[in-house]
Amino acid sequence: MKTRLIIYIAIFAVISFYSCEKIAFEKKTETDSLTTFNYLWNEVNTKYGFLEYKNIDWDSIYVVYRPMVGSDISDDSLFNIMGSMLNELKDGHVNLFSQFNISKYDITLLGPVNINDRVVKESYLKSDYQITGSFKHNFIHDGKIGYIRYSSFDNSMITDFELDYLVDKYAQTEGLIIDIRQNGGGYLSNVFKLLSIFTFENSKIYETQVKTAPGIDCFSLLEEVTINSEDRKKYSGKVAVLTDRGSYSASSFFSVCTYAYDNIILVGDTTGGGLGLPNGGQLPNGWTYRFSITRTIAVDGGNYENGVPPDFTVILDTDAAETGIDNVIEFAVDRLLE
Amino acid sequence: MRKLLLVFLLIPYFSVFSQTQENQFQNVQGNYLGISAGLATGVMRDIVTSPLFYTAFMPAVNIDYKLYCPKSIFSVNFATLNGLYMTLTHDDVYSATGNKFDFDISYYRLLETNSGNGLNNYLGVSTGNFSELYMNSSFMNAGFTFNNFTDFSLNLKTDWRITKPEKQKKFLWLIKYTSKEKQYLLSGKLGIPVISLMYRPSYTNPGNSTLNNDVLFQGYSMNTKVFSGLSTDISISRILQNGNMVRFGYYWDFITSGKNAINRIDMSHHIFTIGLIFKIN
Repeated sequence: MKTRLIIYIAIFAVISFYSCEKIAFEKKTETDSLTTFNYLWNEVNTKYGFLEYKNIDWDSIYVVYRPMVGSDISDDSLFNIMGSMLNELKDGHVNLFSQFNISKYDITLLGPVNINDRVVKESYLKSDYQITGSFKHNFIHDGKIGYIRYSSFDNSMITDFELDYLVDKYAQTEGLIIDIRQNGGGYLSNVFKLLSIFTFENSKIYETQVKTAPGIDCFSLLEEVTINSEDRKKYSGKVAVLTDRGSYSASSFFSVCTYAYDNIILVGDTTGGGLGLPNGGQLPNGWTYRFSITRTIAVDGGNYENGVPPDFTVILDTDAAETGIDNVIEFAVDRLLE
Repeated sequence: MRKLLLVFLLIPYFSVFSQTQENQFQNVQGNYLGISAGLATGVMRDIVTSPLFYTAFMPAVNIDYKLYCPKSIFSVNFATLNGLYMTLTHDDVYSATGNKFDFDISYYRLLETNSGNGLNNYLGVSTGNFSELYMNSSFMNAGFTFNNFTDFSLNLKTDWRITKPEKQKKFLWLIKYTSKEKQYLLSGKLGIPVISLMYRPSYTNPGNSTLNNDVLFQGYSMNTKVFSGLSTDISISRILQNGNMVRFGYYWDFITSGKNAINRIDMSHHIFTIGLIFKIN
């Protein structure tokens, strides 16, 4: 009798606790199209870091897109509507991900491609160029200048050995070119690592803050980001960094950091921007998204989320490129040899 | 190697079931060390990254020490769950790895006026620390989350000693045999976390990794919550004549940071375990 009683008590307890759980958590999450649409709109409204900076009236965006979402809408159509809504932010760090598609805003189309890889390879790197980690490099202009092509911050982590090797190899040059045109970004730690080979008087390279609450200006206090003065081999000459609209995210961070360096100049086109850290999340129907939730302030006080302007704007001359000349590199060489 | 492993696995079994010669059950008093293993399920929703509930499937291991005194119980408990969180949507499956580590210390005092006839009721206090980390690569920069909860709880505990007397029985209505006297300890516990300290992502999960320093736990905050949930523990232990026990346990708890928290989290665990409890002295 007692055994039965115990079994009944145990079964009753388990059922009760499962019920309590449902009551406590309001466990059902609505997953219909409108709920999903509203959720995404609200997430952007409360967490995206640049609505005010980009002067976007997000409420009016809702008025435009909300009527398109009917109760019987297909997944494909819902995705396209939500993807288009996100593209109103004009931000390469904003994506919507589903099983069947990824929405994106192609920031590189905002400007010309400022590099011709074939010309760079044939006329500057030439056939005897070296590959050290993710860097392709060689001497140019009779060995007076070192040219380093770095096409992605994403390939691998830059090692101390690679940096020491580059510094040693180009120590005697009169200047160094770091070409990050069409470099779409990657690991931010590579930005700090690469910067560590340049001599630096100050310590602050930019300031940053993160969204902390739903209000439009609810950010954390600005925090100074500094570069570690690592006890390592340094390149002491002048440096030119080549950029274009395809230089995005980590490349823009690298570019904006150069504002703090007296011996580094930016040459080329305005970068693509992307100075906010993209935050990931999920929608009620399971699709995932990302958009930026931090903002970066340069040492000159500017917010360059839409692109870091160069010190010298130089657009690739396609006619010259036909003859094997990259006028952006040539301009940088002239500046470094001045 | 296999033989060695087999011997190693069987040692606890034999040490638990090795009987004393006396046909007499001992009182549940003194020091006990318990080792349990089992399976846990449950749900988790972290609104910072997702409005969806993820279901947990996690093997569980529990180690506990208890000191039973005539009028009090002192216990130290460590549990770990390591496994997967999953959620199904209409067109995909999303999963995360999850690891939980739970440590708590409790002290119970016998309520003498409400006890007797094998039934002991206790009132107790406990403090616990619960850490959890999960990784969901679908959330990219927000893929890693760490939560740490410290709570101070009030607990009610009931121990009920049950004796199943010796009895003549028949197997398949034909073979007569004598079922020996058996003793059980039925335990129930209800814990109410009065104050909880919750350390977790404050609003946006990844913090700010654009800082050139140790980015772990950037953007985390500590919040205080009163009555953050509930925990229960029901177990039945078969008491052997040498004082050791075999325990079947069911543990349930839920934790919530509250409806209005901007970094709301809801969690619940159901843990079913089978364990051996060794009487140390």
